[in-house]
Amino acid sequence: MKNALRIAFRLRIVLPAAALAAAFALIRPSPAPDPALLAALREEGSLGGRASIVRIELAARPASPRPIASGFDEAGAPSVSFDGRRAVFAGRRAAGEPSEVWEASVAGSAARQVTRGGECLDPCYLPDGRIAYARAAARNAWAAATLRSCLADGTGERQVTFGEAHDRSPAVLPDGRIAFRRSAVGGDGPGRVFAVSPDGTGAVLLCEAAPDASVVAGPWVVGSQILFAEGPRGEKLDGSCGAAPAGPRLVAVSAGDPRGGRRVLAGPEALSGAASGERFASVSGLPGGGLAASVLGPGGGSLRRFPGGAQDEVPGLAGHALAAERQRPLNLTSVVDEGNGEGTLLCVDVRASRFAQVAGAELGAIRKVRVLGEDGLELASAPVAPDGSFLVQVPADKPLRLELLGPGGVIAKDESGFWVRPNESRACIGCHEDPELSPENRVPLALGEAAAPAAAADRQGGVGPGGAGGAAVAERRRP
Amino acid sequence: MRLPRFARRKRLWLCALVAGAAVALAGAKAHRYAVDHVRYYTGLEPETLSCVSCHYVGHGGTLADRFAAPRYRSPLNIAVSADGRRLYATASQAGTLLAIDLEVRMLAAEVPVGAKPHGVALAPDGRTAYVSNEEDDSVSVVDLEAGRTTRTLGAGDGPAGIAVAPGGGALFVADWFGDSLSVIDLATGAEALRLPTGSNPYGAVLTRDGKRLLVTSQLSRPGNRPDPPVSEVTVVDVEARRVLGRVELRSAHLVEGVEVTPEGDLALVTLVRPKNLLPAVQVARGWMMTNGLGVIELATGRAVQVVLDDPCAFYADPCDVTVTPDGRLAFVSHSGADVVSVVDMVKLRQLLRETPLGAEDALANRLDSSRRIVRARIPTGPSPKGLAVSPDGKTVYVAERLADRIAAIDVETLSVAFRIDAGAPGRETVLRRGERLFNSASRTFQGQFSCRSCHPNNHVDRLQYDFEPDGLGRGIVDNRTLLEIDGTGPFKWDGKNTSMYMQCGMRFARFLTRVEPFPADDLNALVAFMRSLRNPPNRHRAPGGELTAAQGRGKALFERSAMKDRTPIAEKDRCITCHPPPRFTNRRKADVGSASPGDHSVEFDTPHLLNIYQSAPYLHDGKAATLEEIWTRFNPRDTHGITVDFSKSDLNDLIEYLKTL
Repeated sequence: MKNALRIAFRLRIVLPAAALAAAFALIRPSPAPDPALLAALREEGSLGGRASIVRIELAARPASPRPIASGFDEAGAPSVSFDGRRAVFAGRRAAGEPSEVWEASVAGSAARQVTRGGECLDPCYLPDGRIAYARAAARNAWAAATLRSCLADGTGERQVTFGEAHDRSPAVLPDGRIAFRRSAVGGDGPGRVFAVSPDGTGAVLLCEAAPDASVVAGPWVVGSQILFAEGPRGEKLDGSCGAAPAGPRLVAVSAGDPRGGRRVLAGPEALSGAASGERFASVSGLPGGGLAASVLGPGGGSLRRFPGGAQDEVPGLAGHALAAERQRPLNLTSVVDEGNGEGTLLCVDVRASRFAQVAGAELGAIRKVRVLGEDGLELASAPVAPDGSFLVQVPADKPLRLELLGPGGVIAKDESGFWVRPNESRACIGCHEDPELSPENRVPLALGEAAAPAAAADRQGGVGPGGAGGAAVAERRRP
Repeated sequence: MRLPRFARRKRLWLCALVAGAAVALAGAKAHRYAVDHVRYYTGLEPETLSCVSCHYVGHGGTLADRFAAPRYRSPLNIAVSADGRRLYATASQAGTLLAIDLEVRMLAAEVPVGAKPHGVALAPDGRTAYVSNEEDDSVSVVDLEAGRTTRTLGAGDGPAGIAVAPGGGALFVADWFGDSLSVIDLATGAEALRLPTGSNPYGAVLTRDGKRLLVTSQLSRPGNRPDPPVSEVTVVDVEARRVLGRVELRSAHLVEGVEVTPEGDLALVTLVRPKNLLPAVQVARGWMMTNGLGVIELATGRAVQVVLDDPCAFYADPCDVTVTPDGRLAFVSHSGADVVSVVDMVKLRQLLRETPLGAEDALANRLDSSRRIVRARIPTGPSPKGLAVSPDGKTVYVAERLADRIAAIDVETLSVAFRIDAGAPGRETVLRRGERLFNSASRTFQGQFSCRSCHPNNHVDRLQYDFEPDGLGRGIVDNRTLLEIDGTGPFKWDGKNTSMYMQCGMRFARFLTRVEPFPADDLNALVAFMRSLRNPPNRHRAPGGELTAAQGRGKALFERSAMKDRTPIAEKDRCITCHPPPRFTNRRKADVGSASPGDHSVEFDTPHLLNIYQSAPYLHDGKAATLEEIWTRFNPRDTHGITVDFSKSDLNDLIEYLKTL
């Protein structure tokens, strides 16, 4: 009896303690898995269900891949969330089906389809948990593709980039923007690296390949570095889902200074079979520092480590990512208002330009700016104020082209096809100005700040009549 | 009649049920009220902030913060002894001078000085340190061997930068709030004269030959829109004790740290280039501001500005600069970025040679200069401030103000070699956390600016801004002080922000910083810090509060209810109606006839008037450069109080009184 009481008394202490411990264990988030590599593997020579995403423990020797998603006809471009727990990848279940974005746990779980009904490629996580990816118009290496983003369950798709281009490989920069590769549809012209906010605003050219070359794969962001592969301009390598065409040079630039300090990490001499078509498919960081690159070639895939160039043969390798926790960039806020339909374009001085005919124009010689659509129709126009500034409202989400007009006609044309998001106020220093220039601190006359009665400005769509320097009233024409 | 037992029990149950329902209903209603309240006042989701967060922690910190508040030192400026054995740092929050033994790398002594010590200068014999005290307008004379303050000298308003004349016969002290330079005769201990400087003089340094003194101006000249801000470096003849000239730094402000190269040919000053005249539609590419150095050729007076930012990464709030004795490297502390930049002086000189006369403005806007001239970025603790280089040139010391530490940078490896504890209490209070967040640019797109960048000294930068939501080129607003802001809501000139949580949270995130707002706990700490901000002592108010005759007459005018001819003044037209004590704001909007054509409304929030004399320019868009101008230029129809019967001396009296508030 006494023993029974003693046991009961102990249980009164032990049981609640056990219950508390169990509750704590349940509530406490499990630690992030140890760093590992996620690799897209393709089993050569077999039919159906031959591609998978596997986890390779970095500490394990010999490496023993453990599948976390299998049964795909093609799978590639894995990307890991910032907390290192989840992964997205592009996968095609059967040969005739479109490529979609899939999500799986890095620790291994049933893969879940995220997107539906598209040729969705190159997914990556955004800082707010959304997933960015490229949606191609067709299953074709150089088909038109735009960047999109959606919620983790595949709903709420938003278009991020606009225009007739081949936009691929989104990757999140340390400042929260998305870096991506833009090429012309069909592969003509150089591929270049652009940056855009996740809401599609503020798209700008970030960096380019060497003058004779084109960015053909990447960009990849590792820490504060942007990496990309560059190859000869005009080269068209056959790319397919998860295995973008790549070139023989791996280049790194600083995310803070993407046009300076360009370093070639691996040139043709670093690739044993560059002449025989080896190429970079993906690049990631490694836990102790350094980089790992998936190099694909006719003889199979391998994982190269930089610096040093150590090489691990990985049969069937199609791409990889480091499965580890990394710092989440801050989300960028948005002023986009989808209900607006228009955006504003402010230029401080059109003469701040790399084009000689514009930069050399006399003060006041450029009198008007015309905004054209892709079809060449005029969408809006505005006078250029005597200080070279203009302010014009333009239709949102349409590729735009600008013409600068003088008394004798067109002085210069912009063919870049940039866009403005609804309610975005897009500001430029000049027309194709030096991208490493900061604006001069002055009030653009086009704002008509000194004498713009609010009511009058409202009547004119937010653009006030010119102040002391003259009028800068925009005309708007809806297409 | 007694009910049967079952009926009594039933009634009991019924009562319990009704009471429970009432409590549940009241609870649900209270919960709904609380949810709406939190959303309305903070814009945050209710589960992120509790009642205690805002109404207790947000008003001074946690219980532990209040009853066991740690003592922070906050080292600000430093000086190293000529033998390199000792380092002296002003502990701005502790009111002491810290003496650090560099051989054993420890805090050796702490000497009480005046309120909020700012700068420290050593006498030529190395036995005495002079410490400027911002808040009690004094200079403490510290006997370094005895380890105590031996004399306290009077100075101008808000002593900041300090320098000892060659020979040690005089002290030069920049009067931060007085826009002047005090020259103190050390033989008599009296202030010999005051020289006029630029706005808010901050740093002071002698040229290498000791003949000239350079004084930086933290703020630009007030009320200059649409012209860009212009700041100045005042050049003083040390021997003649007169102003030799003023070097203008166009489109620059927050000119704080100053150093002369060992060769004696260049002066380097830290500066910020604001873009306040452009509409604030983006942050990228230095659209809000850039951070850099001003380089003054002392022989010619030519001033060149170079940006120290990278094109896609910014280094906010440069605040001090020092040069190694061999003249090869300059070190610049960025208090908003927690970084020290290392500038290659050889390359900087080459850049200057390549910049033709007349091309200075173009260079000042180039974001790629740092690629050429910056050799390294050295991460530091929070809010690196004052810099000093050891006499052998091997070590550069930096005060990590909000970590209560001194970091020692190895000049050879360009990395932090060691850190010295300057009395860090080891615990961060809510207010301290808020102060750290306030001074950090980590919550701004690409780290371009911190709260402090627009609110130096927690006050104003005297600039006007064009924010995006109310249209480009419209709704220009003057920056408002954060001092004494607690209890003056709603905020913004249009009074749209119901609380500081709203102001510093989602609205700033969307239209200014362009990155996600602070997490709720951080926002609460930031608000708690801002609520704690108090004005420095009012220089126009007598210690006992008694008014001079002129101030008394001004008070009567401020409170009057009838004009001189005894015509009654309507209540709405009396000063005291909109500006009632104790904060001299009724926290409502009013039309005082100050609206400009580009404004959306004619009514603006009524500002508080505490230490109003320090907040020029005035009115919602800063159009009045002085208090006088509010009534002499911008009150023609008596819409901002009845002043039609004022004489010039009446206006003077009113302003004398306003300055005492």
